[in-house]
Amino acid sequence: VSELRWHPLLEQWVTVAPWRQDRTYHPPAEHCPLCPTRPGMPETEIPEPDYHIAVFENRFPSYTGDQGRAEVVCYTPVHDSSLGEQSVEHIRDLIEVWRDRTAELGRLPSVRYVYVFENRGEEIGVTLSHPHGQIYAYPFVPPVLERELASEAKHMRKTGRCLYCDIIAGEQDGVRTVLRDDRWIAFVPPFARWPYEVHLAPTNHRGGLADLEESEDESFARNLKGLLQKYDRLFDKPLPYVMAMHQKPPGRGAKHHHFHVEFYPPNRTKDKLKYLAGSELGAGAFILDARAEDTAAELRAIQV
Amino acid sequence: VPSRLRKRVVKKPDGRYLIYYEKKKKKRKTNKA
Repeated sequence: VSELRWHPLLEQWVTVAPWRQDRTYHPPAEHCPLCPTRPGMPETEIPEPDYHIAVFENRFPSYTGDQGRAEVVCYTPVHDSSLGEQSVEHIRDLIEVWRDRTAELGRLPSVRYVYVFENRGEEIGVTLSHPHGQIYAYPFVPPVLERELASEAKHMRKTGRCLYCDIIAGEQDGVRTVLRDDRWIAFVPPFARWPYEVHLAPTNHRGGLADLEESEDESFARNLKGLLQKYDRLFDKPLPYVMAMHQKPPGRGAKHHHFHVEFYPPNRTKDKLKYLAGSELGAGAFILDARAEDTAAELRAIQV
Repeated sequence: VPSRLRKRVVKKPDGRYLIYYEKKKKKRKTNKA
């Protein structure tokens, strides 16, 4: 299992998993471990000749056994594809998979947080190009979520309202809105730390995937697809991003948490990336050379 | 939300699990005689 080391200055856990050094690194497409196994070819992670959606335990896990889990979610058997290229129906199926995994992993005794995410693109450090996401079931609440939950609890104590509901209420004028319908909204938050950062959230107060109604699933799938299509048309190339689902932790608490999905594309232009450097990494202070209102207008104008 | 998928869990030779999520087959209406 991984070694958890405490960072006393930042008061957070650092997970040490040296075996991950040997993980599969940019294999050629014919040796992709996430493709179905083709007849006469060596067995991949998925031994059957086809699948709809498949989930397996990561061969190079950050968390395993009594500590937690690291899972890989294969979105589609089609190698040259992406999440945004899937049909709304298929994304609805994926939402069910994410919901099922969140519930099952959240029941493990040591697990304190289930984190659904996707790293897309070599610029983000992806080592396998097949469309896939990951799920980490952590033995602790990760620091970003811990801080978010604390801010939400503080706001609730102070005002009696959900912090994120108030953030969404602040988007009524639409200047930072990228997409919306009557159930979900995608917007560049005024406090964005990346030029094309977008938050996608249910407009009604929901804690996680388990709280969504059927019509909200449909709207989530449609808006997720719409956003990812806009991203890929922004610079006429597949846009790298991190997709981070912020659900409430397992259990009955944290009713003040509002489920949302955060997207961080590293690009600031078609060919230039924003790097986390001195101020961001060393001091934790993000400096941004773009206004949320301008990047939102750019994304909003893209027809999908 | 009603489930749309069927779940099939298999064990890999090294002990890890693999879960196939498959579309539920639609039930055919049978004509009663």
